[in-house]
Amino acid sequence: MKASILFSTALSLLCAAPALADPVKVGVILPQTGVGAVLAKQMQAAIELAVAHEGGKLGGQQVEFFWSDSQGKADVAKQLADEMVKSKRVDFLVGPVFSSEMMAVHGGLARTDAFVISPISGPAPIAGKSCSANFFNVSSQNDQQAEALGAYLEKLGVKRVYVMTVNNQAGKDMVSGFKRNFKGDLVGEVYTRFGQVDFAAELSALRTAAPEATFIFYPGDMGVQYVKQYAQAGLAKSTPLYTVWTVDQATLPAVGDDAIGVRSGNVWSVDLPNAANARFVSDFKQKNGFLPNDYAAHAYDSILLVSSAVKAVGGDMSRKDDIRKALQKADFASNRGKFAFNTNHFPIEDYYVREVVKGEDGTLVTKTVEKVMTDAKDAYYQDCPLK
Amino acid sequence: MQLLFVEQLLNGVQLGVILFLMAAGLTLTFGIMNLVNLAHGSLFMLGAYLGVVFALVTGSFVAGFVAAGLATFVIGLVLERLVIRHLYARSHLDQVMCTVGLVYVLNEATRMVFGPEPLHAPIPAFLAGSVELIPGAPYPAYRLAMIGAGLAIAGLLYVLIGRTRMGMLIRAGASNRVMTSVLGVNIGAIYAVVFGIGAALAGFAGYIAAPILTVYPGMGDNVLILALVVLVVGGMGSVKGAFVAALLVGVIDTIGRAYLKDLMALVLSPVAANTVAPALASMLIYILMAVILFFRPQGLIPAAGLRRPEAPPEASDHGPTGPGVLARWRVPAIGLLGGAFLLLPLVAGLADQPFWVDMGLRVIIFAIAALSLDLILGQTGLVSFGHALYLGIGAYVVGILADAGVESGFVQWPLAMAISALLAAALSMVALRTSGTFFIMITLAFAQMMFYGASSLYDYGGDDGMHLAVRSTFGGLVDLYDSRQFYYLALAMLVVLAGLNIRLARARFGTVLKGIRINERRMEAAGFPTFRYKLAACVLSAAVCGLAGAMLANAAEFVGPQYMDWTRSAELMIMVVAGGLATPFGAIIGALAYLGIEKYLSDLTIHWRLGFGALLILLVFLGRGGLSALFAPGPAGQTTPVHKGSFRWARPFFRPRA
Repeated sequence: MKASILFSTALSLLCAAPALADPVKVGVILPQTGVGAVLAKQMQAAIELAVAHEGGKLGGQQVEFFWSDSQGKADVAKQLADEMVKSKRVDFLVGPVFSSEMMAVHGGLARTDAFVISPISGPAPIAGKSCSANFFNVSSQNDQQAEALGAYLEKLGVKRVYVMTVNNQAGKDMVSGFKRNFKGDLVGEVYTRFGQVDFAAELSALRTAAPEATFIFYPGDMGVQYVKQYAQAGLAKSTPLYTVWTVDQATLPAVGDDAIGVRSGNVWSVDLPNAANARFVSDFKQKNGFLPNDYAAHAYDSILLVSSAVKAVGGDMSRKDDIRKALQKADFASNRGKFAFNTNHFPIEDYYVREVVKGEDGTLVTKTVEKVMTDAKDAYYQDCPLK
Repeated sequence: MQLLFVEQLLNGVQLGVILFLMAAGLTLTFGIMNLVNLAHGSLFMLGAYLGVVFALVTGSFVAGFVAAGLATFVIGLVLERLVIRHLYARSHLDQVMCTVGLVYVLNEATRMVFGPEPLHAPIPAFLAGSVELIPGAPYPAYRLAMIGAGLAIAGLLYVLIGRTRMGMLIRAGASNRVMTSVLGVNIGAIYAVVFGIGAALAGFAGYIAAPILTVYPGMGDNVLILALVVLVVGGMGSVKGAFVAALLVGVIDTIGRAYLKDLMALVLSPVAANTVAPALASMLIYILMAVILFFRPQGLIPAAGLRRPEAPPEASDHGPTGPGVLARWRVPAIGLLGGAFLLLPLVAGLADQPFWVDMGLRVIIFAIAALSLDLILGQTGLVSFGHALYLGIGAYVVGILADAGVESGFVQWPLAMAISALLAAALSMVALRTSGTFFIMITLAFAQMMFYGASSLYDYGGDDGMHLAVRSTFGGLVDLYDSRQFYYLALAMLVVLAGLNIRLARARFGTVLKGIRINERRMEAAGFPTFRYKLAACVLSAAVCGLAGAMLANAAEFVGPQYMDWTRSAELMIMVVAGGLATPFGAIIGALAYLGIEKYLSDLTIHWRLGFGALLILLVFLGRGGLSALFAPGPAGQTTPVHKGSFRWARPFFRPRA
């Protein structure tokens, strides 16, 4: 009798032990208000879908999410990141989204032992000299999409290109990436203020320069206005528009038919032919009523990555080195098909050119045109001391 | 080349037309009711939202146009009745505070109703193409229509004011309010109509600009700043001036954006030109404004024959007339406050929440900044809307020096103070030549100018700002990476500065400042060189604010132009007013209250700005003297309230109207 009581108590204690373990804490910083609001909405939906696909847990463990709004501002993001790491003691931090926010956040976090999963931004310094062991970028290094388009235009034999972008780190990264592979003539290189949405003056100048093609980077709402105004100025017919991070499934409905024919360079597309992507896109569409965009796709992958790491250590968050190794291994089913990290924790992946077309049901979709680069690595990984 | 120039001119005119519509409303309200209305940008936004939604529902662009104007006219009338009406007799500072609160409320309410994602206003099919006005240069038809619509409305306004009976009544009321009222005209109704017309103009502007600008909560705030510049450049109260100034500003801004880069490329390298030009182009209008104000302080075409109602004092000095409700607990309260600050790190350590120390540090730093603002706003009565500029300067000095390898705080911090002081001296020499609302505008403009200047510092992060390379070092005496040490250092500085502030207020210097606040002309007549006193106060307060900026850069480990933004200046003003103008501890209480409520509310709900704005409005109407008034002793030092529960806070409602 006593033995059985003792035995059952011991057994129940053993069973209770995992239940007593703390939930995995994940902090998310998104630009829920401001020009990035539509992106934040996509990403939040994707994160929730990823958790649902993982059975409501991450790596078999209970998860607690801390959502916060950076308003798209670097200083707010910094404050939030400090709070998440020092006060809420999150195990993983997903975000922030914009490169400006990430640059503000990264330096301070590198001193702590928090794991930062960047779903989108991959500024050059963080890929190179200032890389840190606990930082993992899930999408691509900022320059790379532009490198892909530069290579594509070079291949097409285009000689005169007009470039326009935002006057910040991300914009400069895009342009330097473009120039890395495009050897023709840049008949114009214009930087506008972040947040400027009226491009009348700049478009007038563009028309006078008469380039063969235009290359732009304008995230969020700036991109929507640019593409619309480009079409209104009569330029869409004469000068094809090549974009990075500008036109995607989230912003297409807003731009409307003005977007047809616009091309972009990217690592992911709605029609990528692999099982994980098919499941992701159809479940996302069914749950939310609209198609996912790149931001959503990468946010989804971020959660799967975290989940795979948690599973590898069996939910024991104190095994930091093992978590890091598991993250580096990236053993999850990405919606890009294959996925692997380089030594600087940036992905090695394929790049495609997509074009906006009108689908059979009348909605606008991005369709993959061709693959431009295979297993591409970023230009900075050799400066990174991590091996 | 000439074709392009003509096209750019047209673009400039198009921008100018929108600015005119905004500025016309502002100038009418200022000229006739002597009211500074910062909520005008929100009316612009509401016009865009309501009009676009109506157009999407009915499918008619023109119907949306009419709806935009009508809806904002009605909203204007309602706002006037509920809130604005009570501000006519209040000081400009109170008007600024209250309308800023309105901005929070209106913007957040819009976000709650329509969601945070931008609304996209479709251009109607009949305006979607381009028109070849000049052969070879197709110009977007919609922009031409914008110019046309704007000019048409301007014409209608002219006819309304100049040729109708209503316009005659408005002009009469502006010219001599009392006489018009005595003649049996309902001045209150006239004012309401004028405010409504102003709102409708903003609403039209918002709707017209919607397809170009993207409709989102807060879209009007940037346009508002430009409209304020137009207002000041044209001459406050003058519609003709607003028209000329709007076109001038629109054209200069556009031409600047278009050609400055090429101009700079003649002198600098193309890469440098690329970086500097966009920022310089943004600064151009503010430089223009400063230059025009310097030579012609009343603006280009000042309103003639306008005898405005007597200008109320800039910063309300009507403190509590008797002891506050909690005056008896004044000393224990101070002790409690001091004790809380002293013991915070201990408590945080016990509760294993080191983050509290970081939050406390932030409060202290902003308390120091608010203290510095109180010197000029509270004690001298100078409503400076650009004080956050020095916060940013201090931060940038530390950031730039740290980046260059100069890590010693003994060099960085005094230099931050010195540079802030020098800059303040230069800017104040110009700004102090103006007074009243012009002073508010010009300080705002200077801060915005430096904001754009800081955004152009590409090597230091530009728009995005930069991470602070390393915190200031003090040769081993204090380690800023140890939160506790940093906290106590900051606390010590706050105590010293607060003590100095109290001494200063009671010394001759402070008494002269108080005299200047109450009646500057009298002080001048008594022989005091008031300009020098005001200048000294500005310089001193800038130096202290620069110190706060240096500390903020270290605490946040981040330096960016956001520190200088006009919304940051507004925050500082709110802290000072909320705490209590020209009181010993007002700045500290205000900073604590502001940051505390902001943190509490933002943890509660994402829509915290709504409550915050409402609190701000309540503060203006109910919180005479700020939170310090609760503890203030009576004029003779008595601490027992004369009448308990006498609804002293309600008295302002029953004060005689001007």
